[in-house]
Amino acid sequence: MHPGVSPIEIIRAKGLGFKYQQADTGECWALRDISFTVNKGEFVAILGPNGSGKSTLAKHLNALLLPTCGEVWVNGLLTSDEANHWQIRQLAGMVFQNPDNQIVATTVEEDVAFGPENLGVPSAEIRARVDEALELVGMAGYKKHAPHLLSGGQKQRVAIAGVIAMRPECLILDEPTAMLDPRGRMEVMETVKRLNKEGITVVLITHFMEEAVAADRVMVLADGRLVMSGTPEEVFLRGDELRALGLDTPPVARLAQELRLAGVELAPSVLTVEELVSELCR
Amino acid sequence: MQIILENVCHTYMPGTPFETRALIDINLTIEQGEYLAIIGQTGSGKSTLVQHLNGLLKPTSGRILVDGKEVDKAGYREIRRRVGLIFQFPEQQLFAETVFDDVAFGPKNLGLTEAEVRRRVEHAMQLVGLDPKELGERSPFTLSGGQMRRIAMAGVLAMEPEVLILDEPAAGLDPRGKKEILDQIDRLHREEGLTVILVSHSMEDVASRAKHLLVLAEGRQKMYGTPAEVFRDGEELAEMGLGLPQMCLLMHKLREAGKDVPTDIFTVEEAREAILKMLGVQQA
Repeated sequence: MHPGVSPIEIIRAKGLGFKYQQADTGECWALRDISFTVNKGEFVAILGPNGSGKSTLAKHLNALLLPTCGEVWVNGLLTSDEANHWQIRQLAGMVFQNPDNQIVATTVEEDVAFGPENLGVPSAEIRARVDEALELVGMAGYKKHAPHLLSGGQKQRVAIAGVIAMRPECLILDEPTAMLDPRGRMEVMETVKRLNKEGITVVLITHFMEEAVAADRVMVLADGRLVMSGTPEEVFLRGDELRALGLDTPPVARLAQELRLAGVELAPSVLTVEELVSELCR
Repeated sequence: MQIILENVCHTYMPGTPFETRALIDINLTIEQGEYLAIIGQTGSGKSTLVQHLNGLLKPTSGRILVDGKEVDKAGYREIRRRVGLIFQFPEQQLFAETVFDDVAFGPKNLGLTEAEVRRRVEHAMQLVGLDPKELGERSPFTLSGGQMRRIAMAGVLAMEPEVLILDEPAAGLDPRGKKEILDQIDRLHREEGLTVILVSHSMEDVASRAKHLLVLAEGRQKMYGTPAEVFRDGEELAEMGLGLPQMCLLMHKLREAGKDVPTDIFTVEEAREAILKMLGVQQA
């Protein structure tokens, strides 16, 4: 373990910068001087407009990309040391936006088994892990089903089970609900929240402000920089700044702010419909 | 252009073990200048339905009438030209070396003169808020996701359709990109007089924009009416796995808690007015 790493810390980025070459405009810094830590068991949401560097940042958290400058540690392992990559990718599993691009097998259980098989896990143990992972995402009844016939939300939960079966410490989700309908979104978000309660660290990248409300902490990226970090209550109070960045607050938070401006007294933490109803009916 | 669907049914792979009834008895009139949103879960038949509106699919039974006339074989070619369909993630369909060539592809295939093609391309790009001089010679693949999506839209608009169908035009965009593209569509409806049909599963996006909503579930037409009419019944929508827009849900919950508020509220501004009125706050 890197000296000075707190035992509860799972991810640390320090002065992280990432530069890539663009065909017509030359060099481009996708990430600039980003420093943060994520603690074990935490649920962190990352918001940012299109092109702000969210996905690039996520790919640094399991060594799919390596920093141009600065450092990233996952569980005390430096990502820029290639010898650590195998272990880092097992510790920090990633789920992407399009469920169709993540399915590799012809049945759900084979698909979930793909990861642990590649880790060289003994077959009896794989069986146990697949069953457990499908149970956790609520897909235990679909073991023999063909993944391509499932709904979007179901496919995405199978993709999550595939990562869970590798027994990661941390789940990184890059806009996992962007292509799903409302029911699919709800299924995936419920699953993510449940896994977090089971103790898995969650880093969720999303465009849906209302999904970020469920997080312990929200980080906002803009133009490759980390510009805000705080609890959802703190971040969503800064509605004007968020809108200037091309983001927004959840509609309820915006309404609560408007009502405060009109002189209505409301608690500062109102982010959901239920909270606002109970405040207004006090 | 008026489109009428009469008892339209569509069955995929009829007579096989994979037979699926995707549309069942759809009756719908789309008037010139309509702004219709079609909402429903994945698999509810939304895409099958819109593909009937531009002649990509033919009904298994039932009829489609355009301007009062049943569509025949020659009519299908015509309807494809008059009804433009923009698929989900249309930026994946870009292929040409320059933005200009990509947008020009459709009009060129219509056999128009070079000058007319140029006029249409430039006009279509302006309609989606892109500068033809600045971007025309760029490769579409060097542009941002939002710009690429607008180029794909311009490609359909350059065909000068009378009806524009968009399948989830805002999917995957950030809040600003989403608002920009939906505002653009509103403008096309308002200023260019296009009939707009929007396929969406986001209640927030459609509630304050569309004139009428059609709710589909399992291939059937479950609800049809103005947003105020459709969102009056929150429970029925919830049963279909479709939520109410947040502001509308808030009003329903306040009513359940015994407050006297209207429920046909879709925007933050409307909700603010209604709640201040409920609280009896005097406004300047």
